[in-house]
This record gives sequence, structure tokens and C-alpha cells, in this order.
Amino acid sequence: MGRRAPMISLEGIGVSEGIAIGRAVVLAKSGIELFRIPIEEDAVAGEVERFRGACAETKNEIARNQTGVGQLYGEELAAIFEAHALLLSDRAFVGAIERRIVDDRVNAEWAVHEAALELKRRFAAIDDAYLRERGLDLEDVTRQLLRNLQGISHHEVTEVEGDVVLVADDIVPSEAIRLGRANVVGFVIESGGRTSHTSIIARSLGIPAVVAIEGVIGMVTDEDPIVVDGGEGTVLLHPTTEILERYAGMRRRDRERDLRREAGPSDVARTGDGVEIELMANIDLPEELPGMTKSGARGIGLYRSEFLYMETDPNLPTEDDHFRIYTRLLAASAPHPAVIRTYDLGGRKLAREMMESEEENPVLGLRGIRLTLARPQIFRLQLRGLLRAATAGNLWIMAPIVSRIEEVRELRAALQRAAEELDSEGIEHSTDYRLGIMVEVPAAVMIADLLAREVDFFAIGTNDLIQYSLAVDRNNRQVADLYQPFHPAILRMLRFVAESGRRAGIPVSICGEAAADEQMLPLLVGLGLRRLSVHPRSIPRLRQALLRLDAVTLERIASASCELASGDEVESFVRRELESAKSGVS
Amino acid sequence: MVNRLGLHARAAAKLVHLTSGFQSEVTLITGEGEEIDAKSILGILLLAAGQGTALTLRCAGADEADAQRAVVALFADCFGEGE
Repeated sequence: MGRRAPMISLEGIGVSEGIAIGRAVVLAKSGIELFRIPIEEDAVAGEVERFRGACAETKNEIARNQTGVGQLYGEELAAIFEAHALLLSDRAFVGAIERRIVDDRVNAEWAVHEAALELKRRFAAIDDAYLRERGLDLEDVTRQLLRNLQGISHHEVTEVEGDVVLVADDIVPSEAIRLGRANVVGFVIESGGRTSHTSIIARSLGIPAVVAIEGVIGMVTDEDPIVVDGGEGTVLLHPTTEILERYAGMRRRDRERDLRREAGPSDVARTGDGVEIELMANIDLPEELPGMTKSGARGIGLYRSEFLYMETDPNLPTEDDHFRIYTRLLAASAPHPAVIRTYDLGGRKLAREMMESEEENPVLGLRGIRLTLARPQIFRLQLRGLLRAATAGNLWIMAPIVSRIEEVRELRAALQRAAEELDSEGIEHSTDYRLGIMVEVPAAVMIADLLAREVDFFAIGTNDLIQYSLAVDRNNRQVADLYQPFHPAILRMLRFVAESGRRAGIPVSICGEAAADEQMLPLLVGLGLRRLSVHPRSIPRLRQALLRLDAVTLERIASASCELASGDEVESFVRRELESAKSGVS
Repeated sequence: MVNRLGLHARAAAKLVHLTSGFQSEVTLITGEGEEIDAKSILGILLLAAGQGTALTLRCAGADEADAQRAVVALFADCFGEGE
């Protein structure tokens, strides 16, 4: 037995609880290891073959994207995809790469990488902005090509025997989904935070994950034994036998507890004085559906369809992809609603094919409902999928980032057009759905009374609403503590939206993180909110927390809170009031 | 909405599709004497940078006459873009 490496304990942010025990597989550079590897003379032919295979695969992907986009609008986009595909048939381009593999006896990735650099050089020199854009497109194609070449090394990840803990500096969402569904039992990511997509995916798949550990990549080698505690944010390299046994025990107990957990009650939750509060589930991936049922959630309060897009990345989801997932969601929630939010994609979150140019400020740019309305041929697929799936249950369709009433009207019209199309094609569908909006832009809050007349429901997205209203980027550590859900401005907004909903007779729900915050709960109920959509895991404890609250008291507290000047004052006021209410003094 | 992006890419793709169907070598020569393989999408996209330059067409091969006719027709028709 050789010398054993000393155990190293690292701390990061635990973003998905649970214990993972396995062997490390390290992916550097966003999952693409780009090294120049000299290859043997007799391996050259095989390397050229591998390159050609990756070319073919990439051409297929591009062709799939093309058909995904459809005929009419697709003409312009199709031409761009066409150019991409042609690049991979371009004798000069492809020939140069193959020659490099043969002459330099170097791995295909490196040959492609050099070709991409060459492309970059040639296009950078051009004045014409449009053509420079084309150059960037072509660089994208080489990246796709690289990814397909690397598909072999990812293939290796899933071929590694036993449980794999992935250690990477960053990982794209589609990879997180793919690997999480394969043999990866834990994620250790150098960058990222609680709200990054990978963290959300890890939570949805129930895979322990720790992020924000600087330098971890340098400390880990492939095959290193590793333990991940996603709840505490701890990562242990080369664990001692004792430690291993301790964590194995914890993991076993977690599993037993999960199995033992019975399905929670699914009748409506109530406050102590009998006011009904609907508790619904936020869902991102179908893996979460069994957990949702067990939690007693009364329907899906929010399904973020961007996750479907991430799953099929780099291809666009087909109409059938949409139809299949929505059918599952509706069937799992029936008879309760499934609220499906149309794509909230934009800027960084979307393939270059859909965007014409880089945006300086994508958060305030072409995103959400604006983007989907601006890309009718792509949006059409989602709408058709929704209408076809509507026969499977109680469908509520919701639009994100709505700021103008026109957006609601245009969405309604687009749905009507899609229904007419399906009619004329004789395809089964239903128009028995409700149409609502995310209220997350302050402008929408201010005209909530007017919007309420034209939609069937509201869902308040507190995460973005708070950021936009307080002008705070919660991911910016310098100002993160200014992100205050208790700020009286937020309370007043919530109150106004709740009232507007009540007056118009439409349901209003909350689906941001504030909904699961037990400290916010009293205020939410007190401000008149009666529907909360949260992670299924939070439902049992919210149910309990509600029983301890008295709606009448909360209304008084919430009302008084709206007259206080600062979030801190609100927080201490609420705390004091609740304590005295508990001890019977009020 | 006529998208300038689509126009150039579409025209380039059309040309490459056309020329690739012929056996002959098809070459475009700029006023500066630069030679571009008309079967190469890269070459054509980069060529578009110099729009407005007079181009010479050279076809060499078994079907060179057909190739010449077809390419000239495509250019004359403004690539079917009507502009």
C-alpha cells in the first residue's frame, strides 16, 4: 500500500443538499479540454476519421436547427444555417484542418482550434460589421465542432465505472442535465452561485452540488476519491476511512428518510384561522414530478420552459419536444393547473442564431416575451405544443417580462393564429386554457389594475421585481444586502397587485424565492396573497408555518408595515408583532 | 423585414450550391488579381467585403461552358434577390 495523500477539506457554497461519494473526473475550460496532443503516425488516419465524424455530426445538428425553425421566417435564418453547414463542406477550410492533422501529427481539436484562430484573424481585419458578425458565426460553428469532437471525452465521463463526481470550472446547463442524468452523482464547480442554472439543475435532479470553490481544479486529479456535502458546502478530497464511513452513513440515512417520507396531504393548506392558501410547485425538470406529487403541491405554479431549451441545446426544441413535456406536466398536475411560462430567454441565454447582435445590457434587452414575439416562427412551435398538450389537463399559459398591454394582446393573437393553424391541419388541440402574465417589471405593477382586466391570472416574480425596483443586482456582492424583500416599496407593490387581482376577480400567485421565505410569509398572507409557488421541498414546512399564523392579525401587521419607511424597520416590527401575538398579547 | 444578414448569406450559399454542382474549377478573380474558389463559402463571404469591384469569372473543366453560363445567369439575376 503506497503513501496515502492527505485529506483536504474545502469550503464552497452548498447549492444542492445531499451527500455524494465517488471518484473525481476533472473537466477544465468549460468542459472542453483544449490541449495540443502529438499523435502517433499510425493514429493519424483514425484522427482524421474522428474529425470527419464530428463534422458530420455538427452538420446534422445544424440541419436539425434549420428544420426546427420552419419554412417561412426560416428563410433568412435558414440561409445563415446554410452558410454554417457549408463551412463544414468548404474544401479549403476542412482541407486545411485535415492537412494540419496529418502534417503536424496533432489531435483534431488542436487542428480545429488553429483553424478557428485563423478565421478570427481574417474576419477581424474586415471593416464591414455585418461580415464581422458572419465571422463570429463561423467561430461558433468551430466551437460546435469542438464540442462534438469532445463528445468523445464526455462519452468517457459517462463510461467511467462507478459513481463520478464532476469537478469543473464551469459547465453549460445542457451538459449539467445530460451528465446529471447519467452517472454523475455530485457536482463541484469552481465558479457559479446559488442561482446559476447549473445549481438549479443540480437541485432539480437531486444531485449534491457545491460551487464557488476557487482553485479546486488545481487540487484535484482524475480518480481522486472525493466526498461532497451539498448541504454544508463541504468538499473532501482523499477522505480517510473514518470520514468515508461517516458520510456513507449520512448518505444511507438520507436515502432511508426519503423512502420513508410518505406522500404529504394534498388538501388545501390553511392559516390558523382557516384562510385557504394554495401551495403549488416550481418545476424545472421532469425528474421533479414524483417529488411534487409527494409534497402535496396543488399543481405547478411555475414551469420555466427555458429548461426544455437547455435540454435540447444546441438544437432548438421541436414542436413534439414541447408537446411531450407539457403533456407530462399537465397530466402530473391534473386536475390542478400547470402554469407554463413561455421562454424567458435573451442575450446570453440564447443561441446566436436567434439574436442578431450582442447586447450591451441583455437584462434590459430583447428578452422574454419581447424576444418570443419578435421571433414568431420559433415561438409558434412552443404555442402549438402548448395547445396540443392542453387536452391533457388544466393549462395556464404565462408570459414573462411583460411591461406593456400590447404584449398581452399580441400573445393572445398569436395563440389564436396557432389554434387556427392546428384547426386547418386537423390536429387535435384545445383552446381551453388560461392566459396570464408574470408581474416582475415595475411598470407592470403600476398598471396592474389595467392589466388585470385583460388576463386570467397574475404571477408575481419577486426575484426580478425586487432587483428592478431597488436597482440591485443580487449577484453583486457589493450590493447584495440591499436586495430587501421587506422594503416598504416592495410591500406596497405586492399590496397593489394583490388588490388589483382581487378587484378584477383573477387569482394572483407569488413564485419568487420570497414565497418560500418563512419570514416573508406573514407579510405575504397579510398583504392578501393566497397562492404561493415554491420548490416542492418547501411545501410541507410552509404548510406547518401557515397553521401558526392568523390571517386577521397579519392583515393588520402588513398594513402597518406599508407605512414604515425602511426594510429594517419592517423586519423588526413584524418580528415584534408576531412574538407578542404568540404570547397572547396584541 | 429584409434582413441584410440573410441576404448575403443566402446569396453566398446559392453560389456555392450552384458551383459545387459542376466538375470544373470555378474561380472569381478580383480587380487586384486575388483568386477566390467559388466553391468555398469562406472565400465568397470574404469576397463580399469588396463589393463593387469588377470580377472576372474563370471556369476550367469538362463542363466549363455550362458552369460559366449558370454563374453568369445567377449574377445577372442578382441571385434572385431582386436588388
